[in-house]
Amino acid sequence: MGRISMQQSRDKGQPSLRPGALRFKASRGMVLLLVVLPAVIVFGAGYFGFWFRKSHALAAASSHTVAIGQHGPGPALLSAGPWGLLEAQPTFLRIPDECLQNFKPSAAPRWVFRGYSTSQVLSLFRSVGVSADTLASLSNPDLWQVEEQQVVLLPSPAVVLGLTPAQRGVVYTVLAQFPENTMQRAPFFWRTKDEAEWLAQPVFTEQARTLVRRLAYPKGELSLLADVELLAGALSASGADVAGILKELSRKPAILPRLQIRPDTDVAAMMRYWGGAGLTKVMQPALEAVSRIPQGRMVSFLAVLPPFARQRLNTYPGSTDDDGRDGIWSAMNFFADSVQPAPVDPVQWKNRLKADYFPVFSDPRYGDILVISRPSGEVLQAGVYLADDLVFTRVGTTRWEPWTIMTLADLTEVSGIRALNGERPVISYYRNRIL
Amino acid sequence: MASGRTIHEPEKAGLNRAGGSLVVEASRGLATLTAVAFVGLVLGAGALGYWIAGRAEPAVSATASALPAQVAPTYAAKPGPWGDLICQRSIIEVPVEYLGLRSWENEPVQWFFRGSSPEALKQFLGSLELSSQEKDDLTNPSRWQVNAEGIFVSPSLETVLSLKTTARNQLYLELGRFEENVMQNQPFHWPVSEAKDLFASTRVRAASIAVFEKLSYVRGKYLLFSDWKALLSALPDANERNAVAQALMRRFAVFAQLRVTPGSDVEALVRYWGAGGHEKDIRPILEAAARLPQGANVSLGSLLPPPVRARVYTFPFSAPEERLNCHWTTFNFFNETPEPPAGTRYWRDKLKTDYVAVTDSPRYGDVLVLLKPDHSIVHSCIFVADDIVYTKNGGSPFAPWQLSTLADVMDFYSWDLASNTALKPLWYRKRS
Repeated sequence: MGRISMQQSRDKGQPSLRPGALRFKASRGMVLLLVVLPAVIVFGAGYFGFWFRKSHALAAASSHTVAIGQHGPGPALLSAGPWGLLEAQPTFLRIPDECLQNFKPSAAPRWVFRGYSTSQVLSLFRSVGVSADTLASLSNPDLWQVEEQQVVLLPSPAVVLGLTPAQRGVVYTVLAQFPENTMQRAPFFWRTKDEAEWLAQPVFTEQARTLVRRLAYPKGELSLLADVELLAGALSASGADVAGILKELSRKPAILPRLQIRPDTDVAAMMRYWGGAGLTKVMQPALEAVSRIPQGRMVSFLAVLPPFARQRLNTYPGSTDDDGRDGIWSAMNFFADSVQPAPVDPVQWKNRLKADYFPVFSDPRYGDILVISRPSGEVLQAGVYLADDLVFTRVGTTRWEPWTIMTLADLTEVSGIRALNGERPVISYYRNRIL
Repeated sequence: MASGRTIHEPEKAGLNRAGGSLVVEASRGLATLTAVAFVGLVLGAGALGYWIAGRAEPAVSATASALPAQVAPTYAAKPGPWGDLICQRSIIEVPVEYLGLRSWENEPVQWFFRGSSPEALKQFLGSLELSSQEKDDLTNPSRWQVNAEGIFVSPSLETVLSLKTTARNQLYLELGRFEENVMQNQPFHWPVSEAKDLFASTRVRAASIAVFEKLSYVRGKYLLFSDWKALLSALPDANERNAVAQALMRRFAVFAQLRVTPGSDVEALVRYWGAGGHEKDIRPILEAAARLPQGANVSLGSLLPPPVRARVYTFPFSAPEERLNCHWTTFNFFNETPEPPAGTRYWRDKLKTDYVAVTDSPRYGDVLVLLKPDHSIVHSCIFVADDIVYTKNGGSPFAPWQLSTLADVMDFYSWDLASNTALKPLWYRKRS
């Protein structure tokens, strides 16, 4: 490599044009480097400035950090995108008291095993290592309803309570495969590591804590609880605040997104993202009106949702225990003017997805249907992609499940509740051919 | 800066002849200047990159529009059972692609003088301050259609454009007596005090504003405008016609948020905002907001009954004959499935049978009826909180469902009242 040296011209008596001037001597390679290096440094400084603003001003608090039970207290600014400036407030939704009014804690558990025979179910219990006493009690024919292509087991409370968390986990994952078992399919859940702090809330009595722990079962990093009637029935005699406990158990992670609209917001650009499906007429007037407010304003996310979702976001369906209106039904009706009856027939859904949609492999956009499925293609959860990693969905069909906005990470984790051992959910997006 | 810098081949300078090196000679001042300039260049490049990143931020326009003077700053509603409301007033506009001006351009200008005879009409026109050309045009028999009910006059656009303000005012006062003359009977109107800002922050050209000012007329405290077709015909192109139409159809709207904190009385808020059996629809969001350590602002829109949530701040974009007017809006406020549109008589009967007069303070969901001095119902809307109402001012597809201040609604419906009279507000509450 070249070498550079600096001298004062008069020191060494070298020939110089100007006495006292600094003289730099360098090889040709070094000179070339000295030309290229400053250019690289200048370019690098420009890039650093660009990166600094992007990363610190807009994406410092990306929603990707938001996950079940890890919600920070304050809102986070989402990654920049064509959706505009979006702020997300992580929170939990809990069932409203009004939806608990006709809840019957005395309802007996009813487990449906589709495609199973009685002996296959008993084999299942045997394989998980239930006690001989439990197996003996399960052999009582009064507990069984044998129907075409399925058997129904009406277990006694003692059998249910007698299962260990590991046994319950195996049996309930099997039950979660069949839509009739609505609570195993969409159970209460919480992050296991947060359990102690969460159960320390005053609403949980000591008996309630014990019972919750006894009925809970693990799935990944989550703890699940499906035996809501049994829990409520056992607690109602104790004088505990059963409604308060159920309400707390029902909490579901949710995101409350808001759009930042300022006088310099390019509403037309936002409409190019949000205004598909003829929704410009619904959204544009309000967003433009807010953009005229000198101080700007954080706008409710309702402003960019179609009427179907506006009416349902952050609400519960009512006192129903299976209305069939799950994430698939919600996704199929998201842009609909007139809502289709529920539930959506799986075959019909697949045919419609094939006929009216095409798969999208990257860069999902507003309105794309998000499908989380097994490797076999069976759908576990579905929703509608909104922006960044936000999804509009409903994860179950019971009174406990609100229509809500979740992060994709949370929805993926919840979809794992139905996953069998070793299964990794597959995420796909489908775009309407017309939109 | 007298001392320069030379870069020369060592052979020529007699230096390092064997190595083929370069020698650079510079004064100390120039060397310092070069170093400082380089540092400046690096910092400048960084700043430029920062600026470019700012320009590339999504969905934020490069130019902020000027803001209309009418837009009020953020203000707090009066305290009440509705909680702590933060309000802002702004202007809502019909999206340009839904104006449908082409269909209007084909509408003929026609005035109807009900019950008038040719002699009486000539006498009336003669009493107006018209130019001879205007008089000739308006009395030309080829522009008249006389039938048993009265006389239709089809004036030329030139005449409509040229009328003096006094003549226009007198003529339209007469025409406004008859419902057939829709634009004179229900003209566009604005309080004179706000009219000066009609075109604020719009892209309407000065020449177009001048045409509008010539066609508009003042009656009492209001600026009125009836000559839609004439105005459009005088504008140079579709862009300008759209801009003017948007400006004239602008309405004031209120945007409000409920401040919910851990200290908020959520039960009281649920009782207030859950009226009409909608407690379950608003409790989850209120409870979630109250559990956040820093609280949250909940949009008022998300506290409205679900069907209203879907509708607020939108335009119906349906045929006017569907009569999605103020009464339909009011009496369907709590309905999961709305009743079909109906005539005023139907809604008046409903008010009598299903509602009782409110003697205490109005509360969320109460019906406000505005009566003219002759006791005719001119408007109905829904009380929301403080001075905020949910309203649709008219059956027009260009009238949005919106939140508004009561004062703005009263202003909107007071334009044709005599100066010493006022609208009478009456409050009603659903019996159930």
